[in-house]
Amino acid sequence: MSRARRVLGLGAIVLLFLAYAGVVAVAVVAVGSASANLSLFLGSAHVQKSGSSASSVAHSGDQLRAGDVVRTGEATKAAVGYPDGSISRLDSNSFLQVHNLASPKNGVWNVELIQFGGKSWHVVHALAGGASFQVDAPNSVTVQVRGTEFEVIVDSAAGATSVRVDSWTGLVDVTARGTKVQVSGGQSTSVQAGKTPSAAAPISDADRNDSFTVFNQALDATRGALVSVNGGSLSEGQTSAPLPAGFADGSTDLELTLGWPGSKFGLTAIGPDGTDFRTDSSDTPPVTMLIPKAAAGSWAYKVQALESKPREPYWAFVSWRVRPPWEAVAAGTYQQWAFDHRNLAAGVFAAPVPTSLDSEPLLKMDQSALQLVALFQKGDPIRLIYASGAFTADPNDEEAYVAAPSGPLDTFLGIGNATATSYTPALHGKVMVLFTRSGPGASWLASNVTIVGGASLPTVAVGNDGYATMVAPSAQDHFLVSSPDLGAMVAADLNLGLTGAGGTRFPGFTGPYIQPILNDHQFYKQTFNWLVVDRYAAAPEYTTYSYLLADGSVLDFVTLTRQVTYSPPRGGCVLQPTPFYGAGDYSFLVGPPRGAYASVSQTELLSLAIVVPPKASGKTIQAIGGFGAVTTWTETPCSSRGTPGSGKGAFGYI
Amino acid sequence: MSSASGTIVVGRLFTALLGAMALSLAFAQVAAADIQGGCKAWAIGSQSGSVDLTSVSELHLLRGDVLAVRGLAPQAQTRLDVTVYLFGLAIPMPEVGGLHETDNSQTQIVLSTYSRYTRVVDLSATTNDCTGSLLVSVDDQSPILNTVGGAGAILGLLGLLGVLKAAFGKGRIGGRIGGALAGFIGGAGVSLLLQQMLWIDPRNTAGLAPPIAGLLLGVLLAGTLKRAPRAPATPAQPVVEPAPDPPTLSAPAEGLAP
Repeated sequence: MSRARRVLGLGAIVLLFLAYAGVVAVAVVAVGSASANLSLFLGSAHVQKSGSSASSVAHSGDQLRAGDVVRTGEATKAAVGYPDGSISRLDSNSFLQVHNLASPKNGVWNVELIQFGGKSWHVVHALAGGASFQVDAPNSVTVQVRGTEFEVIVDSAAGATSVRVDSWTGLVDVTARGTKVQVSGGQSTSVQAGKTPSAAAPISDADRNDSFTVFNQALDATRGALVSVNGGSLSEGQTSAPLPAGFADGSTDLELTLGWPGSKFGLTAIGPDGTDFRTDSSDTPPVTMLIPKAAAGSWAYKVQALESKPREPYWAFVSWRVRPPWEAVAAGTYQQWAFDHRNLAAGVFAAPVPTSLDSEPLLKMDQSALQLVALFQKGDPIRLIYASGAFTADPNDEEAYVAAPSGPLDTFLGIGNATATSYTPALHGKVMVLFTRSGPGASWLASNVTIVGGASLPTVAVGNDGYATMVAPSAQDHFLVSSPDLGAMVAADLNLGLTGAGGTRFPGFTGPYIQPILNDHQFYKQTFNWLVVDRYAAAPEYTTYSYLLADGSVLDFVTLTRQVTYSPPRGGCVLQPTPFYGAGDYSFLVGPPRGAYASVSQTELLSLAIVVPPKASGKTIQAIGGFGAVTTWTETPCSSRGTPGSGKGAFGYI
Repeated sequence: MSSASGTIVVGRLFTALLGAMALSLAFAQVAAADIQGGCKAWAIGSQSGSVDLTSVSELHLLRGDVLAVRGLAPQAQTRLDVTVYLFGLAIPMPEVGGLHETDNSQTQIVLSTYSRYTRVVDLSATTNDCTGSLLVSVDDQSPILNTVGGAGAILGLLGLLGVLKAAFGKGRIGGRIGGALAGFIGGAGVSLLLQQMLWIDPRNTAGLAPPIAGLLLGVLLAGTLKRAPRAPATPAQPVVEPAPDPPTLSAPAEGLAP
């Protein structure tokens, strides 16, 4: 028996060990080599896998890994989504390689693409430190960005290949032959073969009116899960044939979005009964029409060119907007917190939790306000907000912000002058209520927000031309615009602020951004030394609303989420509800039921009302109110009868 | 044995591997890639965005995601059976009850709570009217730094050590069974790791190839490295005491007679 058998056996085992070691080694670094997700909106595409010379028909949901190449066909619109949330959209006859897709460390992604031809539109997520997003193109062009929206056009129509880079938002560095040109939002540069990039210049009208531009700008305004896409062109006075919008089940919000280059277009939703349900028109694209809980049945829509050039292109998107299910959780948690707080204030901490809030003054107050809010209709003038309960309103000095006349009142801030009669002496001042609901007919989630000293309330004046147009404070035609990136920006700023580093718009904990409200919690800061580990992130499920104010500032409602862990040192325990509440209506909001816990990790929903001043003003962002609710949590049991510590610690509140 | 026997061993190895592959591929099946029966579902990741699950077979998420899933059904669904796939085998989960409504909004899921246990989950659900399947991958979770992947790596190593031990054994029936068991465990561990790396689709019975190959290799390699038996000691020659010289005065003999 032989030596040969021994050698072969040994060799086989050595090979097995080597193979195992190889698999484990790859697994250790595999977190850095994830995939990108391909979506096909229209048309067809082929994918050539790395290392293969053959290409295959691509489908939505296909995963692209480093080295894979995607080529779109005629009349095609496709997208490649990356793990960090960034997206590259491809026009017809475009040719893109995912050259590198790596994550050198958790939460940081390096994306490197090579575009051989066609048009690509990139929406780059706000990049974490160390992350990068780069597109290489012919003529030795390299495009590097850090959180922006830009387009790369490889044009070979005139013979020689030229590369044009349009930056629609943010800064882009374009490098060719050792020369770098920085392009800011609204600017463009081009690179001819053998040349360096041209000086930055405004984006051409041809590119602004290009069908692919219209497609992307309209798609950016879409919030829901995309169901269908339709495109075409219309001349002035023309109306498209009814286009299918899908089958509604009666409980889902239907969202229609229309984009066009300019002029004036209209969008009409056609209900299941075949009649026109609603028409919205605008001379500023895009238009988004949200139909909450669209009636069950088959919906359609049509597009009208009211004032347009001949054969203006348009794109229409149909999507379902799903309400985040934690709205209900948040509402329940808030109510639990409310009556826990009331019990504490009444010194009945050990008493059983009441089963009804009917007798609670807070509920009465909310109900009164909600009844009034429900009266708001399109075009209503400013109305009274607070009227009864523990408060009486000053009828001659009421202010309120109302939501979009054409949209659902799903986020709403009310401000009014009121007198709190339950205090002795009675307190007089401004009060603010932040309302959210999932749509008409759904329950409102309301929170009274104390307006703290020094926070000046903006004048109520909302323009109907979006951000840039000033309007008279007396204007009654309120208008709603959306800032989809605001949540991510605010979250990033808050995270920087919590580290004490400060952001470009947010100078840190001691700045005016959160300090006014932080002051209300100095009591806690002096009392607790709980370890709080938190991290803010955008909650894209909630639309961000922005109002242009008379002084050029923008009032934004933005919803964030926060992961937070309460972990007292030295065996202490988190008490729910905490007995440490101040003179105001504040308390810790902890998710688990009443009890003591060694630690609590929870996800919080935080709705903020902030005022973003004009850049030229030199002012910083000011938070004027907020509302928090716990949505999910995990807890570990308390092993001892601990109490919160007494030292100081890094603890912050908004 | 010589090179001929070595060829036989190599042939057996290839046969074993090919057999395992063929067996796996013969039973290979990939679950349906979308939702059938008129139901709709969406997943909304707080970082990954919304995905229409009706037409997508893979859901790629991030650890920081808070996931909300919403389902719509044409009528109330009173039955919900959930099956998890592993090694291509369907493992039914305990009955989780029906939805009893047409619009079911699940409580949000904090991905980081679960991604520490597994990076990849492949499951299917069946209700009264609808069926669907979905592969969920948490892309920025390490395939090995989670419970399933880590356990796979450990099992793989233990299995290899077991095969090695069996190879040093005598190759008898007990040793071969031990080798087979170790090979199976090691292969299963490696398969788990490969599924966490998405090199093997958990819905595909190709996931059985590594444990089967390991089993066969464990059998074949048992005893291949056993130490050659010591050559039996040469029987001791009887010690012959030299005979005392005969008391003779004659010349010594030229040699001893046998």
